[in-house]
Amino acid sequence: MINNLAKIVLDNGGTITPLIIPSELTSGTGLCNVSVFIDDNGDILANIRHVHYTLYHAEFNQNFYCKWGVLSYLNPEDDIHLITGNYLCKLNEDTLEVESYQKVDTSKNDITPIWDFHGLEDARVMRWNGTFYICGVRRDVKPNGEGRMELCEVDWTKDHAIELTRDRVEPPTKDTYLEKNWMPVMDMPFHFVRWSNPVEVVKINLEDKSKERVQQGILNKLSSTTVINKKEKFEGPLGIRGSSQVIPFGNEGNRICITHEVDFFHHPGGHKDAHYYHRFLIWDKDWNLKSISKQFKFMDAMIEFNTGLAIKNGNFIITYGFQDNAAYALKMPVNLLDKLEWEE
Amino acid sequence: MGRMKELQKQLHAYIQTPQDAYVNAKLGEEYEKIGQGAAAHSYFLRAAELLHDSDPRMAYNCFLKTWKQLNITTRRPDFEQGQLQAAIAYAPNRPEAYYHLSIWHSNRKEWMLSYMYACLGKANSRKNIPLTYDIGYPGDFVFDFQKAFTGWYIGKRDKSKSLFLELGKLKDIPQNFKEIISENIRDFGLQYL
Repeated sequence: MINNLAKIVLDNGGTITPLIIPSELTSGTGLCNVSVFIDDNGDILANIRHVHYTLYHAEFNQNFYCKWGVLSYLNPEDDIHLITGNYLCKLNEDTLEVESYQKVDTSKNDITPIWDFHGLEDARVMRWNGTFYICGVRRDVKPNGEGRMELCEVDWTKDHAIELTRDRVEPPTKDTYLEKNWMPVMDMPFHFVRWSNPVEVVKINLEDKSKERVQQGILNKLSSTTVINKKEKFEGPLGIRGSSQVIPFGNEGNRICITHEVDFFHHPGGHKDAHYYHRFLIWDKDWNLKSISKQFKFMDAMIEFNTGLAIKNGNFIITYGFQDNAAYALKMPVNLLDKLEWEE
Repeated sequence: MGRMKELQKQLHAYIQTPQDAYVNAKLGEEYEKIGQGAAAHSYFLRAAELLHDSDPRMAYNCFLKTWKQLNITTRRPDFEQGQLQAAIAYAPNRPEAYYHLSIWHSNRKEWMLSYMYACLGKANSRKNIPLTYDIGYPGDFVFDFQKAFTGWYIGKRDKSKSLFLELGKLKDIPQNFKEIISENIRDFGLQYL
């Protein structure tokens, strides 16, 4: 396993860039889980998740407990909801630093949240058929915290980023509680990898619209259908889940993405804790699993989370959050994949 | 731009040696300087954990930095109180956390508790090596200042007056403290004998 992908990248000609939104806008709370995307004109665009908490997470021997243990979301104590906002950013082509940003204005479609987590979480960025979207999970509209992917068209100019539409995607299998981390397939509009291992690809049915009245408003909904459902599975130690977008790779119709997996454990204090790991995963043009890397961590932390992958000028741009508190963009030469460890 | 360059430098150092506690602390400090408290918090907490058994003074310093980030962010008073209490439990002979707990209580007009922490801080404020990273500790005089301030409300007015007079003789203290001390000396009609 690789504990520090960033070191390998830096030692082989790559770069790392902290992604920053001024603290006047964030009170210094967490920036994380960035999704990156290369637009048709070559611009490097990104969505940075801003959480209204600071994550307390003691690592190593976990000697320093805070009042609520070694893992705690430090929300405002007068409003303990776990709130997410999103900033759409243009990154500098050379440095990958945030050049400009707009907070996504969701007011047109907001309904009063009624569950603990507010907002669109871990939004991925894409342009399909000329329309710019972000798509993440929302859990705040039903009293039980049901989570569904929501596809949101955004009108983004230099002056504003306004969420124009918000469609809640029903999964092909009914009665699931939490649907999240669907990976958009960038070259297949309105298709997502719902499950990575074995792979299940779903297509959103744009024509199959419906509405659902919920406690505080009305949801616009779209159905989805499974279009690819493979049986072949990599037998790893942990369940493999989606992280980045799925992007075309090479000249043979392959696609590549980054996945994540979570190793839960109970630390000596008895509380639940976890290690997060990631992998590169490559499918061939027919969605057969072609290669899967060994697990890696980005920067040696227990909690890291990737939500973005793009290729530009022979480099991957990989974006991720570090302990929910910091956001980074890694520029990794594509040919460095050959130096990583891969499963047999 | 200078700050971003320094942040990049410390980030690169971190990536080369992510379990070097002192490198973690330097990166945390850079994030704090640009107001990114959450990121600063992460690296200071890593540093504190890594130094828990090997360098208690620096571990205490970095642990207090986790308090400071949320103190700057505001709206987490229970967390702040808990961090300061935990810091005292870890290093009861250091004065800084006592001072901030005294402030925490006096901000809530909990005069006796504030006074108590001022007394405990004063008792632990001698001959301490200064901390590497600033956590808002102007000096050991702060305990007499807190005792003078809170003592007024708990039946120690004569002691409060004498403490303000003593504090008024101090030259090398921050201007904001000097002004408050002068105001009290004037308002109470205190005179040096």
